[in-house]
Amino acid sequence: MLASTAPVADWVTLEELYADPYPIYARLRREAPVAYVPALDRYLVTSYEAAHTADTDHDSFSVVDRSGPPRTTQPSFLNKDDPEHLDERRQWLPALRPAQIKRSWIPIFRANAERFLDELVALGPGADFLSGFAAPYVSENLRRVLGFENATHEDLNRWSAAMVLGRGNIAGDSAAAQAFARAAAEMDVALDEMIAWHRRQEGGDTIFAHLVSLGSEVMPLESIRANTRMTIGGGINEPRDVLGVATWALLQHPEQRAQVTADPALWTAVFDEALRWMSPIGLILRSTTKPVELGGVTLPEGARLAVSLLSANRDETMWENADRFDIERGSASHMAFGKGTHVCAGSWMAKAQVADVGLPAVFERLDHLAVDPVRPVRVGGFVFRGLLDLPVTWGRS
Amino acid sequence: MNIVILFGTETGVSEMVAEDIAAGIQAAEVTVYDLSDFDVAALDTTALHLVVCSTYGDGELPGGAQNFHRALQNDRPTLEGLRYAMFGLGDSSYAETYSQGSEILDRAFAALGAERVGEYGRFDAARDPDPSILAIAWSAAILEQVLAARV
Repeated sequence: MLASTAPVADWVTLEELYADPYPIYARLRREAPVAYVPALDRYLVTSYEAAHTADTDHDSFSVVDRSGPPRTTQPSFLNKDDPEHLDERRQWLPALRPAQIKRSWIPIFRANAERFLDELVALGPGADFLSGFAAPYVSENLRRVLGFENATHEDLNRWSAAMVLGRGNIAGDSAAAQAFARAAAEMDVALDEMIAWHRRQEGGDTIFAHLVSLGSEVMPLESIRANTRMTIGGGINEPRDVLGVATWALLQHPEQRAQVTADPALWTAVFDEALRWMSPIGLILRSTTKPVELGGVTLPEGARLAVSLLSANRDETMWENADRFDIERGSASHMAFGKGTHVCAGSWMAKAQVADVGLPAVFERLDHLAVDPVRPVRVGGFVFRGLLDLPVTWGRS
Repeated sequence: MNIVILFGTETGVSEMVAEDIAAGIQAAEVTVYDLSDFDVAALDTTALHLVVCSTYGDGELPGGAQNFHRALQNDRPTLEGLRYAMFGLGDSSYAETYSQGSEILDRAFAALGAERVGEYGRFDAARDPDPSILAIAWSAAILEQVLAARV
């Protein structure tokens, strides 16, 4: 077996990555875009080019970890290679197709935006934008799209937090693992009840309604459970964080805020640039299927990779002044949704609820929206990254 | 003149684009079909076809267009007289396979005698923010050209 020729970056610590990964990533892109990082026990991929290759060369890079500890749970399609991945993804997708989103979901997202802006306004200036608006808004949207009639948006949000903690648990913390197991068990009970309920209903546009309409062709229940966990894990955290980051960025850049409020066609650019500037999914994991060249180094078969989307999206060879938030730069080639066969299945739902509905509703409704000057905004994470809170004030509403 | 919009899709973007194009056409009767359940025998050589097709994997056809393409290859219907315009969706960050999915269909149509009209439309996901805006402008130019040629 070929040995790795990747340099070792033993100076990288998890604490520093969590607090502010960008200076570390900038140095790695310069010195060692593919480096073994002992603190992660993985090869960390930081350049756009190498990240793109690792995410799109499916012959050389697998989402199945063959050399790590064995999985204890059924994987979702995000953790399966083709063709198994594609079979399940195609069963999951009809409710998330953009034409379906326009027909069925945008009107619901609009009503939910008004409802949860009412709730934020009732909290009064100084409220946290994330827990006061973004989280309940996207949780309720996802509850409707999945077809979770027996759960509340609070349930979904709580399950999601546990899933994300479990997935981001690179260090193997046992309390996080237990919280994940508890939430998964609770969700499974509600899901089983819902599958039975949808079998008694006729039609419907939801993910669950489509699955039961497939009859005996549908994937096994264990796979439905795994994919529901994945959808809740990724379908709340990520759109919530993009809403938070985009709002925060516009509040810091009044000239760009004025531009987009004058020309609503620019909300898509705001959405893409927020995704590029601070990608909510910081790391994706891959494993080599054979010895392979990546970023100028040789990796052995079975090498475990952490591919940093946060870093790829700040690559100076792709974007000038990559650390600056700039809605005019042309950010559409960002890797925040991934590329290749595993490109985010919820990307159009995210765009609809953030760019088409959520952000325009927020900035139209909340006059003089501003970051609360007396409370600091906190940012954290590198597996997932986003604002930890965003206290805001406003004038009229 | 009848207009038939055919879309081949994996994730549904081409479906949305096809429906948005259809909604923007007032001058003629328009029908939209998903290639995943469209019979090659139903191709109407008197209609203008607007074909919207994405790219999947390593420059391959999307799942929704594969059976249709296979049927074209196997049944080899003659498409003499059929006029079509092509709109391909792709991502130029895949340098070698950019927008190749639609080109596979384009070659199949041409090989059976169909005639491509107007400009080859392209959406680049790595550069363009909105495929429907581009596609609607593309279809308007195609229709203008085809209608002008009939006078």
